[in-house]
This record gives sequence, structure tokens and C-alpha cells, in this order.
Amino acid sequence: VTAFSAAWPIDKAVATTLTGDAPLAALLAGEQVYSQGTVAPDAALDYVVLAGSAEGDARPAFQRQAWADGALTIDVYAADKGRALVIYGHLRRLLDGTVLDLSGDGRTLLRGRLSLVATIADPPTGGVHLVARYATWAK
Amino acid sequence: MAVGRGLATKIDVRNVRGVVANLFAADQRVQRGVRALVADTAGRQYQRTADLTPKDTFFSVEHLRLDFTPDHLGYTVGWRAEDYEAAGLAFYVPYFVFGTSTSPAQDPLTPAQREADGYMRTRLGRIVRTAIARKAVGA
Repeated sequence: VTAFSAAWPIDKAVATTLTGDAPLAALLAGEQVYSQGTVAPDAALDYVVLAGSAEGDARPAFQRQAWADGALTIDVYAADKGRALVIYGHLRRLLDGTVLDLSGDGRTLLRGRLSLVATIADPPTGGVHLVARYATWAK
Repeated sequence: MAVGRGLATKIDVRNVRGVVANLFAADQRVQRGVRALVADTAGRQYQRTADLTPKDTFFSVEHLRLDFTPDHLGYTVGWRAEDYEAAGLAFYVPYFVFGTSTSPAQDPLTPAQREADGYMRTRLGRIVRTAIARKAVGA
């Protein structure tokens, strides 16, 4: 089960890729891939949050500007660093090996690369917050 | 951007060093111009970062640092963990830069760095073009 409010093509394409991946669902053990702002209050670790591309991002304008190059931020919240890195490794293999079809008819294709930005503590959950950036370009 | 004992963005313009060292070694005007540009850009990036920094307690704004490399052709803008530890605080900068599971990211570093990068590139090109033109006419 997933909860998405993605309204923009790149966000949708990435969301579709992630939610359709059975190994990722197994890694998350029943938890979800959320879009930013839709995380359930009772969400349990581990879970993944798509922060959205520049166009679909609900953050303030100055923050959107930081990612205005066709990139998404993907946040992984996990119980510990090991779990976060396992999930990140799977996301990287999945997304780096995927061609995103934005138009649905094969005319607008994107490739991308996921890179690790930071791994920090997440005080609210007591777990680990892994920040990754998915940069895309036309295929 | 680096996470560890601190969090900062760094501009270290290697091609400026190359230009200064190899092409215009004898041109004092170019060297002065580039160093003045680096100082100007650093000041702008520092101010923009300060403007975008959360101001709940003003501690982070008051402890934002600007450090130049010894040759003044590079600089870093950001925070040092030891400043927080010295004040008996946890180093919480990564939490507002990258967000947490309960609070959205509010990254002051990346937008300021991108603006500074564009500002510097434009003016650096002008300095180099002017110097080349001056060389061409033997001024």
C-alpha cells in the first residue's frame, strides 16, 4: 500500500518505480513509500519519503530553488545505519538501472543517478535519517 | 557540502588558481581582481546563508562562519560542531538542513551556494576576458 500525492511526471515515474518493486516492499516489511507531507503519524521504521522534484515540492521557494535541476530528494528513515544503507543500496540499484518514461509512450525518457548526501540521526524516531539525491537527465 | 565535525559548503575554484598561476602570473591586476571577486562572492554567500538560516534562537546565525583559504582563492561558509558543543548544545544544524521525520528540510546552504556560484562565474569570465584583451593589445 502506498500513499502518493505526486502531481508531476518525474515524481510520479519514480513513485511508480518504487511502489512496483516487490523487493523494496519486502525490505520495508509492510511500511510504505510516502510522498512528503503524507507520512502516517503512526508510521513505523523503516520507511521511505519522496520529497519531490522542484515543480511538485511544497517547500518554500528558496528551498525549491536548491533542487531546481530535475532532482528529487529521497529520505530513508530506518532503525539503524545498517538498515538505512541496505535500503539505500537497493534504491540505488533499482533507480540507476531504470529508464523513466515520463510521457508513458516512450517519447520522453529520463535516466538518473542516486547519490548519498548524508546519514544523520533522527531524534524524533531515535533512528537514522539517510538523505539521497536522485538527479535525472534526458536519455 | 560536508557532514562530520561541521557542515559547510565550500568554493575552491581550482581553475582560478590555474589561471592565476600559469596564464597571468605576472599580471598583478588579474590577481587582485580575482581575490576581490572571491571576497565579494564569499560575503554575499555568507549574508544569503544567514538570511535563510532558521532564527528560533539566533544561535546558528550568530555562529555561522566564513573562512578563507590561505591564498584567498577559496572559502567555506558553514557551521562547526565544536561551537555548539562549547555552548553545551547538540550539533543540530543537520536537522534543519536535511529535515527530520517530523520537520521539513530548511536548507540555507545550497541555495546560497548556487547563487554565489552563478555570481562568481559571470564575473570571473569578465575578468579573464578583460585580461586576455589587455594582453592582446600589450597593455
